[in-house]
Amino acid sequence: MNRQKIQIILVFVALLGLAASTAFAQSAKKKGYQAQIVKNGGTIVGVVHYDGPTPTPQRVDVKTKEDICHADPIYSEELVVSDDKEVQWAVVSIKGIRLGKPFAKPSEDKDKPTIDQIGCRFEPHIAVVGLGQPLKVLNSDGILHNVHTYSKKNRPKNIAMPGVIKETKLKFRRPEHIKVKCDIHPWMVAYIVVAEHPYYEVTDEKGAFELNDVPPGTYTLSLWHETLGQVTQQVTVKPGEEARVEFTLSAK
Amino acid sequence: MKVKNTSVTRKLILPLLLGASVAVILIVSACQRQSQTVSLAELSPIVAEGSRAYELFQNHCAACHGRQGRGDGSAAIALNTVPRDFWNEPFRYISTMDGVPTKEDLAFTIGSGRVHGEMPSGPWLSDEDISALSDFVLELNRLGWAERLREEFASEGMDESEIQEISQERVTSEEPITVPMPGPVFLPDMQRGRDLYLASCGSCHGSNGRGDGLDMPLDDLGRPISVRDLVSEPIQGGSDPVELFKRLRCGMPGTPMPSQSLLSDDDIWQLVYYTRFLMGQPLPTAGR
Ligand code: HEC
Ligand code: HEC
Ligand SMILES: [Cu+2]
Repeated sequence: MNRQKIQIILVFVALLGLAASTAFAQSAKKKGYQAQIVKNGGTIVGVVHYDGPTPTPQRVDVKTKEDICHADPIYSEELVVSDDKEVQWAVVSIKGIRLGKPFAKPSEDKDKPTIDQIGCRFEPHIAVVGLGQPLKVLNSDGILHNVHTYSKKNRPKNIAMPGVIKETKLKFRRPEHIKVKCDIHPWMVAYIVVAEHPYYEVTDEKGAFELNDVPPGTYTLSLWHETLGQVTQQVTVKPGEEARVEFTLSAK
Repeated sequence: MKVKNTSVTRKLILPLLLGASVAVILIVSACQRQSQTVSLAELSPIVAEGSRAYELFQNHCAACHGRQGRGDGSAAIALNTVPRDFWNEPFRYISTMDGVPTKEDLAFTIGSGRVHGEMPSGPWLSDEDISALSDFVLELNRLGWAERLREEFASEGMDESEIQEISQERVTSEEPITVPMPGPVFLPDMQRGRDLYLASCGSCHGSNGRGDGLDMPLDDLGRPISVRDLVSEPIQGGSDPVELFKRLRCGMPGTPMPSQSLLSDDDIWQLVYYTRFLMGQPLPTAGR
């Protein structure tokens, strides 16, 4: 074999490698998130604060006749702020994370992503479901509700759930924050957060959240609230350590 | 005489001036609006100005639906029902479970004029024309989806290929549902029908079908919409059992009317016949 031939072959192999690696990079981009076992992960904990006068809870004027809608008073969950000015129902996520822990696989039925229609409310107000995973939609009330999604990236749906139907499932193809309403009880509003990776958390009544098993690195944290909008913040996670973040959302 | 004349001209001059200035304002604003509307040809060849479909649309549809199909035609205000804005609203008279009409659904709507109580569009359109118009309105719908996705998500990094992909998906229908004929022993049972009706429809259509069940219903664009009065209002999509079956099973996208995807075929048939009973339509009898 002469030199020239070897050179040609080498160039050829190099080109092949290049093609393969770009193809691989592209498929990785298409695939988005990749799950693996996270060793030495860190934790991100934080609180979402509210800047403004604490809003008074808004009691809903229930106009329909069904008894079950009058069993307990219903309050709007559009903006829920604690006495210490912490914001519940804000969604925290790590923006664009590509590698990390797998989605939780709850074995208990009650731990699976669920949204219930109970007492003429959606419970919880914000449900997080992994991309491609089923969301259980329950109707504990035994009266007619309709699950009307106002999705833009996913197919919009409007499903009747008569009282005899206790459960159905929904699946989503694209990550999105989807508004859900019931037309019969117009105060019934919820959000389905279709998560592209498991690093999504909804703040609790103390405005707190915790993301664990985060591979060490520097990330952008994204915070979304249905009326207060979206903000981001940088955070650096070190192996086995806890990174603290504070968010503040301003009154609109 | 002379005095009278001047007083008349004086009386006329103010309204004339006013009229003229209003006319100028109207013309100027019309020109501005004209320059603001996009050129369809730049967006898609299917809807390009000058194409056959475009011309047909201008001649037969634009009066209500607007020149670009945005639901803003000059005749729109005179109608009881708002003409569809093809850019921003989904289609309602469908036979699929994915919220998208098949081309046959659209052709049926356009050709039969059934949705168009006020306008028998069908008779003077050939099958080819109807097919071209179906493609036309579907493409406007796709462009509308793309427009909204771009507005909302481009800043979050959604790229043009994804916008194209999703908007295409939004107008691509799956197979239509097959409407399974009720079995030979099926008989409309008014008691069962009424029970099902009260459990699945009464909250909106009212216990007697008069469309009075909801307080302030809104469509997906947030505009007031009325729930169909099943007793006295025309059933736009057709009141024959097969069409009603589709309407109940598939729902009416863009409105509160949900799809009854979780009930059995037999239950839907009972509902179809109970609805027809409310409408005063004949019911099948044994041995049909
Ligand atoms: C007289 C006014 C008028 C004219 C002319 C008219 N339309 Fe319509 N069109 C309407 C109204 C009103 C609606 C909404 C009906 C409803 O919501 O039930 C509608 C709805 C539609 C729909 C939506 C159907 C669906 O499934 O939701 C299509 C498609 C349509 N028109 C196509 C056309 C085409 C094509 C033409 C011309 C051949 C045309 N229309 C002419 C008034 C008109
Ligand atoms: C959540 C409220 C809601 C429920 C539940 C509901 N509908 Fe409707 N329905 C509507 C609205 C609103 C419209 C009018 C849509 C429009 O104007 O385009 C409608 C329209 C209709 C139409 C007219 C279709 C046409 O072609 O014109 C029929 C028939 C109908 N509904 C029957 C039913 C039956 C039967 C049920 C129960 C199985 C039911 N609906 C459940 C809200 C509802
Ligand atoms: Cu409800």
